[in-house]
Parts: sequence; C-alpha cells; structure tokens
Amino acid sequence: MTTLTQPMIIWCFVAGICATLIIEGLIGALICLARCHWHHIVTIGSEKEEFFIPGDRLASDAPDYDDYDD
Amino acid sequence: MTTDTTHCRDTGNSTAAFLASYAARLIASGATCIRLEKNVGRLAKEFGFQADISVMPRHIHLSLSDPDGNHIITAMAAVETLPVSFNIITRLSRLSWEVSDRHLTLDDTRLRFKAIMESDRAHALATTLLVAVSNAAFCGLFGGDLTAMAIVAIATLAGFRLKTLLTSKKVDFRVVAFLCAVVSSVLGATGLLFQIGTTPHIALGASVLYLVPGIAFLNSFSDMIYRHYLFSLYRFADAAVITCCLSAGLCTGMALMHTGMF
Repeated sequence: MTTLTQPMIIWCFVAGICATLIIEGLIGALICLARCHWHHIVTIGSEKEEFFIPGDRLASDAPDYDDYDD
Repeated sequence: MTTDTTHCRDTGNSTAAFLASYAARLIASGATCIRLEKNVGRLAKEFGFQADISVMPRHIHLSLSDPDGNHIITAMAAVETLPVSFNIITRLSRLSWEVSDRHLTLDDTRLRFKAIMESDRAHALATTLLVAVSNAAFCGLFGGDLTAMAIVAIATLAGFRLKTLLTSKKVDFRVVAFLCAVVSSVLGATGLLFQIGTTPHIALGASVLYLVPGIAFLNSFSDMIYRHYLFSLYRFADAAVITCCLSAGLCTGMALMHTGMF
C-alpha cells in the first residue's frame, strides 16, 4: 500500500501544478485575445515568409505584365 | 585627407559594430558558422569592406579591412544565450541578400535589423500544441498505442509549458531540462501507475524526447565539416550536458514513480 501511495501522491502533486500552469497560460491567452491584437494560429501566406532562397523575387518587385517594348 | 580618413574610420567603426551585433544574434539564434561567415562576408562586401570573423563560444571577434588594407577595424560582441529561432535566422539571412541585391545603406540595414529583433513571430500557444502533437507522433512511431500517444501529448504539453515559463525567468537551461524531464516522466508514467494502455513503457520513454537538443548536435557536425572545430566541440559539449540533465531528470522521475529499472 505504501509502495503504491507514494507514486500516487507524487503524480497528483505534479499533475496539479501542471494543470495550474496550463490553465494560467490559457487564461492569459484569453485575456490577451480580449485586449490585444489576435495572432492567428493558422494563416495563409507566402512560403517566402519562412523560407527564403537567394534569387527569390521579393514581394515588392511586382511583375511588369503591362510593359511593352515599343 | 584628414577628413576623408576620419570619415572612413567612423564609417568603419559603425559598420564593424553593426556586423558584430548581427553576427552575435545570428549565432545565438542557432545558425551554423558557415552561414554566419557567408552572411557577414556578403554584408561587409556590400559596405566596401572585407570581413574576417572569429567565432568563440561566448564572443564574436570581427575584423574589417578596407580593400587597400590600410585600415583595419576590430569589433567584438557577446553571444547571448537565446532559444533557437529559425524565423530569426531566415529573416537575418534574407536581410543580407536584400542589402546585397538592393544596395541598402548602413542606416536602412540597421533599421531593418532592429525591426527583425523586435518582432519574432513565434506564437507560443501554437508552438506548444505542435510540439505536443509531434512528440505524440514520435511515440506512435516507436510503437505506442493511442493511449500512450495521448499520455505523451499531455506530458509534453505540461513539460513544454514549464520550459517556456522557466526560460522566460532566465533560469539556467540545464536546470530547466532537468525539471521538465522530471515533470514529463512523472506524467508519462500515468499508464504504468493506473494500468491503462498496452504500451505504457513506450509512453514513459517518449515523454522526454522534446528536450533532446537535436539542433545543437546537427549544427555541431555541420561546423565540424566546415572545420570550425572549436565551436563544434563547444556545441557538442553543450548538447551533451543538456542530454545528461534530461537523462538525470528522466531517471529521477522513474525513481519517484517506482518504475522499471529502479
């Protein structure tokens, strides 16, 4: 009985602390959501925001489709 | 002549100071030495200098010389202890290419560098969730059942949250690794304690995998390939110490839960 009680006590103590930390983090995130600018977890964007290979066209370099050589 | 010399020296001093801080931030974010050399060399060439860089574990020594070799300026910057950030590495590398392609001035480059430093786009909640899911996937890869994967996900969630909290309090990362390993292994032993699932031992073993410093080991070998032996040995030793700390934490957790080998 003593052998099983000690791990159980330790597990409950650790689980309780972790649950408190996670709940506190979630509450903080919800408060930030209410007050601050919401950061989208999933966004649709250009892969060049995360991966850049030298030679990639920069976002500001718009393709000049309408240029004609007169 | 004197005015030109003074102006050249001031410009060189400013450039050297900026490049040293750029290099320190790049290496602190987890870049390899070869990437550092190429980026700094590219920037220095664009500003009209040649850069020689010496990468030490705690400091960067940068030496700038003009093409004639008449003026040599040395700058040094301290390397901070920061978490690895691929986002910062990518954006700093892109900055060096923008300077080279668009011929930006030093002042513009400084402004963009400051903007990059002040806006790391990592989302804490998303990172925590994704780390938990990936560690659970590792458990599945090693033969764990769905119950074990769920246990590992929860243990990783708790451990990573504690890691984020302790890191923000500037706690030594070796202590962080030990404490997070203890917490994750205690929670990872849930299957053994309550006799649930068919693969509780796999859950216990996989619960601490997120702490393994894989990037440090990989970067160490990359630096060794490019003959930066000193920095390679430093990175390897650092990663080995962190691995020992997380192993000690795992063993402590297993001892507390009276599992397996104790």
